[in-house]
Amino acid sequence: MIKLLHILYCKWHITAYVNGELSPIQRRRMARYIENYPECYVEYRRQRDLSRELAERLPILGAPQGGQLQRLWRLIEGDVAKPATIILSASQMVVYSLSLTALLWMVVLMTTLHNSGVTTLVITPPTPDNAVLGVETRDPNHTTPAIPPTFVAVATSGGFEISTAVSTAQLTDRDTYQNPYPTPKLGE
Amino acid sequence: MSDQQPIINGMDEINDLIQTCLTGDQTAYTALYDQFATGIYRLCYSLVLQRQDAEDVMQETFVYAFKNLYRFDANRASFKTWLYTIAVSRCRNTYRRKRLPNIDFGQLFRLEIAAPRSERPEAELARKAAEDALRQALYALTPPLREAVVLRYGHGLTYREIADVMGCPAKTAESRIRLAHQHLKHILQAHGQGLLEELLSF
Repeated sequence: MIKLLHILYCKWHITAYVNGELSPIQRRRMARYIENYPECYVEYRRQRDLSRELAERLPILGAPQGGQLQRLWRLIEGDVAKPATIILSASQMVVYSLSLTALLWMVVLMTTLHNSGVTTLVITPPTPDNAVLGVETRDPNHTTPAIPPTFVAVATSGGFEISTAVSTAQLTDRDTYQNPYPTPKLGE
Repeated sequence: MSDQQPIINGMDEINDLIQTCLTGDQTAYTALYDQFATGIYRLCYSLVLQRQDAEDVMQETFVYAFKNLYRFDANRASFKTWLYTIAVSRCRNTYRRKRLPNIDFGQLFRLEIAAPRSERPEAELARKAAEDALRQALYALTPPLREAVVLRYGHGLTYREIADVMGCPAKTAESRIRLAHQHLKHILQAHGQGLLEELLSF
């Protein structure tokens, strides 16, 4: 059981051991396991060979060809000399597009509502004359319908009398109300 | 600008060069490019595995780096790590853009520049076969595993540096390299003869 754990430890850390990335204590432990267990030794050899292969071959892969770097330098030099431009990322472009679309829709909607007369629904406060005579007075050809006669109290110089055949329209032409109890003047 | 990579080893020298760049000195930009161009191109090619894409990514990387050079903080990471981070990020954008398999027309029509005449034909064939096998093996890896293995063996970065470039914990970088080893072991074995045998043949 302990041997199995040691071998597992070895397999887990063998790459770091080959690359020299273990602490001194871990390195000593690994060296002991490699020496004692053939499985660890086989794994060590395999990993070491692979590391050597990669370390030899990878630095050669993609080596630039003659004149390639000079050509790239001319392009880079040109780009660096250009004034900075704002480059939007894809997410920024989506956000800005949506915002712009929403704004345009709002403008279109407001224009449509204004032209369709829906805005007249907004009630404006009436002037004092309108408040008395009502909305009908806005039409100059409008005639006030006759109000059926009713009992009204008509003020006269002698007091009040009851009239049955007057309408409110007639009332407006009558004499103004005379106060039977005039306000006494100062000093009287 | 020359094909020969100048040797500027010290971090201080690189940082001095960056300070000179920030004053607007064009020769400093050229020196900085000379220092890192080969490495960045190899990195891009190993990750995107296409010449044209690698050139595009490299161009984007340097243009971004030079335009944002004032943002580089030497206290946080080395310039190399910063530049590699930008390059890996641009390579990832390329993977995302190109989910469909691509055809490298240069390879399809064998338009690659011929090897020097001094190289023996057998040696050239063996080198080519080994390179193709390696390219196919890398192509079979997932992007995170490919990035980890390329940064480790192609550019000699430590696990800590790999983690910085890939934006992940060091333990994750270690796991990715271990997993990449397992995959590559199987893939390269599937090619029949070991790569090492081919390499030893020339």
